[in-house]
Amino acid sequence: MNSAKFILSRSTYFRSCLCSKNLSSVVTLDCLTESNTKVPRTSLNVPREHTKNHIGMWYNIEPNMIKRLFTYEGIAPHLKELTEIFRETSIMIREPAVSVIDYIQRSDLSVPPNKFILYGKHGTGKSLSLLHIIHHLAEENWAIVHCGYPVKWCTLFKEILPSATREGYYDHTTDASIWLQHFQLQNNIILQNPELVTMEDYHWTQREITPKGSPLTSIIDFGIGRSRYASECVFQLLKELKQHAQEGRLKLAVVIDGINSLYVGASHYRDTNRNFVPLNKLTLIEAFKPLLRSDWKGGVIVGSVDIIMSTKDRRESHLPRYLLTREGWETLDPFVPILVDKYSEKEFESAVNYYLDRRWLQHPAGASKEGKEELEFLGGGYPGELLKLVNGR
Amino acid sequence: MHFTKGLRGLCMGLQDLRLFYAGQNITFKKVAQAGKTNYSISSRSVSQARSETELTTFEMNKHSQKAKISKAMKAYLQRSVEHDKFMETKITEYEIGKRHLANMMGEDPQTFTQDDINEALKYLMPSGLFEPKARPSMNHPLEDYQKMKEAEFDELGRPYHTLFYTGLPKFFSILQQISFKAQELDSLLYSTGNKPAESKLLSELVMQFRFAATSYLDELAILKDTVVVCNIHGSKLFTKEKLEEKLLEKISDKLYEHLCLSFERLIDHPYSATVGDFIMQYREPVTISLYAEDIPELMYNEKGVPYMTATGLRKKSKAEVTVYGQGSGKFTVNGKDILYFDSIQDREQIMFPLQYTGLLRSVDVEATAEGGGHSGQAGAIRYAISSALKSFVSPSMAEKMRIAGLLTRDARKRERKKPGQRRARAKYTWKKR
Repeated sequence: MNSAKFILSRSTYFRSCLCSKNLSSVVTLDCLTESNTKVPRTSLNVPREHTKNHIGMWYNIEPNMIKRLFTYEGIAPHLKELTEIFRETSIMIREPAVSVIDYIQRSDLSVPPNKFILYGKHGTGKSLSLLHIIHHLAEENWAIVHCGYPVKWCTLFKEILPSATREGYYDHTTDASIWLQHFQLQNNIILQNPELVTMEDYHWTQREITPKGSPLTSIIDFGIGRSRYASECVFQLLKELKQHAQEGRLKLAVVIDGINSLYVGASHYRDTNRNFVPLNKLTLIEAFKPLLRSDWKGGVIVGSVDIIMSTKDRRESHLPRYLLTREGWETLDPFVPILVDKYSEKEFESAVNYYLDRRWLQHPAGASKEGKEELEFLGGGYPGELLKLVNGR
Repeated sequence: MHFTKGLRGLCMGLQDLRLFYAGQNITFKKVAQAGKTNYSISSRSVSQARSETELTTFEMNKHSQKAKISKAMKAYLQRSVEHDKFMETKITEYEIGKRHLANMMGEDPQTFTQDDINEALKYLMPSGLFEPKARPSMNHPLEDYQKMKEAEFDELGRPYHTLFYTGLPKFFSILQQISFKAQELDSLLYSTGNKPAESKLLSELVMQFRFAATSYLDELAILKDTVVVCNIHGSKLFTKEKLEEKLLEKISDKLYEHLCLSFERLIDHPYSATVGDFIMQYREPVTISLYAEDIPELMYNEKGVPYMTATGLRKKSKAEVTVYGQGSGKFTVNGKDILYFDSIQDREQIMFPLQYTGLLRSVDVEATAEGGGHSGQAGAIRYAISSALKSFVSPSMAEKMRIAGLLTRDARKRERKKPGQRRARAKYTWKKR
C-alpha cells in the first residue's frame, strides 16, 4: 500500500473533558475535503419570531432568562455544564418546537386546553425542544407549571413520609418545597397579579390556616417554609391555578418532560408492609394529574414521552400509546402528537459546526466532509449520539 | 558431493550385508579413479561370512591395502545404518497397517491411497479435538520422520565445506556470497565513472525511493540509463522455517534478521539487477488469492438498482447483508438503525469497509445478524459488507481491500476453559497453604 490509509488512532478511552479525540478517519489528514464550517446563527432571540426559515439556526437565551426559568430543573446537568463551558446557552431552532410555538400562539383559550405531546426516540432533542417552548411561554407571560424530571420523585426522591392530611397517601417533603421554589422563581412576575387570591380556606394544621382571599404566594411561602405540608401545598396550588385559568385570570401552561413517568411503574419507596408505594398514592404526582385532563380551559399542555422515563420493562417502543399506558392515554386524549426526529442533513451540519465553533470538537478531521460523514454514520444522525461522539458526556 | 550420495546409496544397497555384519569390524575405503567411485571392504572375519556370494558382488578385497577411516565417518555410518534400519521397519509397519486398514474398510489394499487412509481413520477413530495435529493420523514414515543429513566430511574426517566449523556452513556461505556480490556491484558502480560521493548519494536515494524508483530517477537523467535496481515486486524472502528446511540447518532469529538486512542492502544497491538471479534464488512469489472469478457480478432489482448479497461469519454470529447501490448511506440491521449497536467500536467496525472504499454515502445497507454477541455480530456484518462491496468497486480496490484484511474471515474463536484453571488462560489464585 503506497499511501498510509489506515484508521487514525481512536482514543475513546482517553477522553478528555475539553477536546474531542473520538474522531477516526480512514483518510490521512492531508487528503481531507474542506467543508463549510460557518455556524448559522440568528439574532432573533424571541421564539415568537422564529419561523420555518430559521430551522437549523442557533439562537441564544439570555442568562437572566435561564436563571429565572431553569435554576432548579429543566436543563440536564451535563448540558448545564456544557452551557457554562460554552459561555452561552444556545439552542438550535428545530421544526417540532417551531410548530408547537405556532400552535400555542393560535390556540383558542376559551376551549379545553390543547395538548401537545413530543415523542421520538431517545436522544432526538425532545427536552431541548421543550426548553425552546418554555422560553416562548415565559416571554409571552404564561403561568408555567413546569416539571422537568418527574422520575426523580419516583426513584431519586429525598424524603417521603405518610401524608399528614390525606389518609393512605404519601408526601414528598424537600422535593415538593424545592418544586414550589422553582414555580415561584419561574412565575415571579405573574404571581404579583393581585387578582390571584385563594378561593377557599386552607386548614393545614389547627393553628396554620391560609384564609380565603389571601394571595397565592402565601400558599407557596407556607409550603417552602413547612416542607411537611409542601406536597399538599402543591396540590392545592395547582387546583387554584386551574380554577384561575378557567376564570381567565391567567394563561396556564403545563409543561411536563416525560409525562409517561406519571403513569408507569411505582415509586422506590416502601410502605410499612415493605411494598412499593404506587404512583397514585404520591400526593405530588397526583397533584399534576388533574391538570392533564380536559375538564378546564384557558391553558395549554405540552409534554414529552420518552422510553427512559418508563420502567425498564416498558421500553420496547417510543410511541405514545405504548409509553403512556391506558391510563395516561385516556387522560390526555385527545392530543397532538409531535414527532421529534433525528437531525436533517442541514441540522446535522449546523450542529457539527457549532461544536467546532465552540472548540468542543477539536479533531482536525472534524471540519472536513469525511469527518462529518463519519460522525453522521456513527451517531446515526441523532443529536444525543453526536453529543456523545464529540465527548459531550 | 556426489560421494556422500553414492555412499548412502551403497549403504542402502548393502542393507542385508550390514545387518549381517553388524558389530563386526568392517572398513570402507573410497578409491576415486577418474570420477568413478569404488568401495573396498576389508574384514578379518569376512571369510567367515555366511553369504559369501553377496559379498563378491562388491569386489571385496579388490584393493587389499588396509584403509583408514576416521571416527567421525564411522559414527556417521553407524548412525546411517541405524536410521535406515529404523526407517525400514517403520515403512514395513506402515504397509502392513495400510493393508489391515484396507481390509477393514473392505477396499482393495493395492489401490488404497493415503486419502483413503485419512478417510478411514476419520471414520474409525472420530476425534473432536480442536488441533488437527492432535487427531489420530497415519502418514508415510518418510513424511513423519526427519530426513537424515548427509555426511559433510570425507572418510578421513576432513570437512568438504570451508565454513564447516562455523556450524552453519550453508547459511554463512549465503551471507558470504551476498558480501561478494555487493563488492562486485560496488566496483561496477565506481568503474562507470561516477565519483564515489555521487554514487553514495545515488545509493541512498535509490534506497529511499525504491518503490518509486523510475519516476524519481527521471531527475537524475545522467544516471538514468545505467541504474538498474533489481525488481523484487510480488516476491518475498524465504521465511525462516522454509530456509531452515532448505538448508537443513537450524537458524536463530538473530541470524535470520541479519540475512534479511543483508539482502535488503544488496537489493538497495543501484545495480542490484545485475545479481537479480542470485537474489531471486532466495525469494518466493507472494500469492495473490483474489481472482476475477471470485468477484461475483452485480445483480439488479426490478427498479434497476444494483445490489449484492453476502454472508459473513465471525465468532458465533452470522450476518446476511444486502448492499444497494445508488443509495444515501442508510443502514439497517434487524429492522433497526445503527443504534442497534450500543458501542461505538461496533459501529466503527461496520463503517470501516464503507469508509475504506469511499462508499459511505453512496450505498444503502440492509443487514440481519443472529447469534453470538454484539462484537461478533458487528464483525460478521463488516465481513459481509466487505464481501458484497467487492462487486461494487474496481479490481484494484478489491485487491486493496484484501490486503487490508477486509476480505479475510476472522477465524479466531472463543478459547475453551481448561480444567484446573479459572478461565482459558487465567489461573486460580496460588495460595501457599
